Amino acid sequence: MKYSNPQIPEGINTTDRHPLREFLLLAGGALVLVLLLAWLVGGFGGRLARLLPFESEERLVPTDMLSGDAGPPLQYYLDDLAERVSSALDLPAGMQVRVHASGDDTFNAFATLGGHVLLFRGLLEALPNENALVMLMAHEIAHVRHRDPIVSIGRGAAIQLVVGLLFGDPNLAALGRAGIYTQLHFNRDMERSADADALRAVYAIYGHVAGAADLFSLIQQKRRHAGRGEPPAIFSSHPLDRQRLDAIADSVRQNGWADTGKVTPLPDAYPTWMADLARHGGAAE
Amino acid sequence: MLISNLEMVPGKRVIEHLGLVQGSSVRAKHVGRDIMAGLKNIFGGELKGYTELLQESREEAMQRMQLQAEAVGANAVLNVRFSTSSIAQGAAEIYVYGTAVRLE
Amino acid sequence: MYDLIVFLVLLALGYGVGQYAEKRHYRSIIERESRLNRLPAIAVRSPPVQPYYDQALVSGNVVVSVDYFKRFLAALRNLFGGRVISYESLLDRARREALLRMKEQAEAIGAAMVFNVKYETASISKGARQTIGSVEVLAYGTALIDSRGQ
Repeated sequence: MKYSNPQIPEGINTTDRHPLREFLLLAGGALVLVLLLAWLVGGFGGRLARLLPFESEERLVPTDMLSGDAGPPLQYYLDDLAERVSSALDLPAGMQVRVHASGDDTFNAFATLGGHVLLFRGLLEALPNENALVMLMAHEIAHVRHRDPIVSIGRGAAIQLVVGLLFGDPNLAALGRAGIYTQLHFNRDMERSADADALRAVYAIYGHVAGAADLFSLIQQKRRHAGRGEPPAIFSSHPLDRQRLDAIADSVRQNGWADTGKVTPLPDAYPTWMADLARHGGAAE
Repeated sequence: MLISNLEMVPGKRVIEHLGLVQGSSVRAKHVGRDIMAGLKNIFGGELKGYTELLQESREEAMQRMQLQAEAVGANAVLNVRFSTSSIAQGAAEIYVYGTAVRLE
Repeated sequence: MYDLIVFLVLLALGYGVGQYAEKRHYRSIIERESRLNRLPAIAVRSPPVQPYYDQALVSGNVVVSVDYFKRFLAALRNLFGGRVISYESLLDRARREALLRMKEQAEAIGAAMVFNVKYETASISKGARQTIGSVEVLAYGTALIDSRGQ
């Protein structure tokens, strides 16, 4: 008996396909799959959430978390503005907006479930005039009117559920992120339409839209000042500052609105209210 | 002691079968090796630390099997088999077993 | 955004280093295989009945880990099903490397051939998801040593 080990040709147990080709094919396919699924499911989840009546949305909010720090004069002033904005935006009956001011120096404002709008002192203090404040409130109230808070929760939950189920493998976490970017895409749409409605409200109240763009110039300035560049739009929940300013200019041009006019200054007592707000906010902590 | 994974030894006769003898060894790697392995997780390639660990572990298991064989008075272990199982995260059991025999 | 950048960097690193290491490893495997060809490894249980052969158990083992790129590719394959080509070459390399190590050990003790060669493949720390996806291959057999020379 003769025993030997002849050389066996290479490549019988392996596939000779370029790994990069395989990668592009699979990753591309998976990406399309994630985006398509997230888009479909997100749209469905959002639509489903919208079916929830506004009244029951209010019950989802822990109201004690949203107690504002504003003193009576500031609260009265904000409520009055909210009232004017609500009627300008033609809020449906039964949709009640509640505005709260927080003493925190965060540079932010948001609308959440149940028609609650939270404005932070950091942003309130920096506003140059009443028109910008109205633009800000109108933007947030437009979110309420569009039912954006509940819709984005429904969307987020639906996207996370499906993406988590299909792409739960930790090795595919990067693909799962694509689902989140789809959600951000929906978010940017919401922001754009809230901006457009807010501008309409400002025009309805003042007869011109001067001062409205100040809000976004302020945000842009603040960002530059902090030395933080904006992330590329697809990674952001909001459109780029530049795009928002351009959108305002476009809409002014299309509607033939006056973008110059006398801006209404903030009340004389405004700085005192802010100082008061800061004190209350500090005491609450 | 002759250890072989053949069933017979050419030219020698088995005069007595003494049943199954076995050796096992469970080992875990230490954290330092885990960190290196974590790096390898990105670049791929051989995990030398683990290779050595399993090698040592296998030697220990063989030694234990040999001790059993000596205890029953065998002078050879035939038809030896290895088996590896990861029983917990980061720990592996090496198991080796064979037939203890007495050769003439 | 930053985790995406980290992911892409890891992917590129895994691809670059992994491919380079694989090419080099294959070169070394082929070179050693042709050298050790004269020492046959036979998967037959019964050795030639010739009394002048001494026996010794020889083994070779290797633990290999898959790189980041290949793991991602395999995870993607998991979505669509089909042939996981990124693991094929990994296992091929591991099996041949283990056999070569066994042969090297046999060569060191002066064996003429290795009989009853068996493979044992075990995945280390499987089940632990995010951790090391590594596999051990053990090759073992009985070396037959020509004792006439001594």
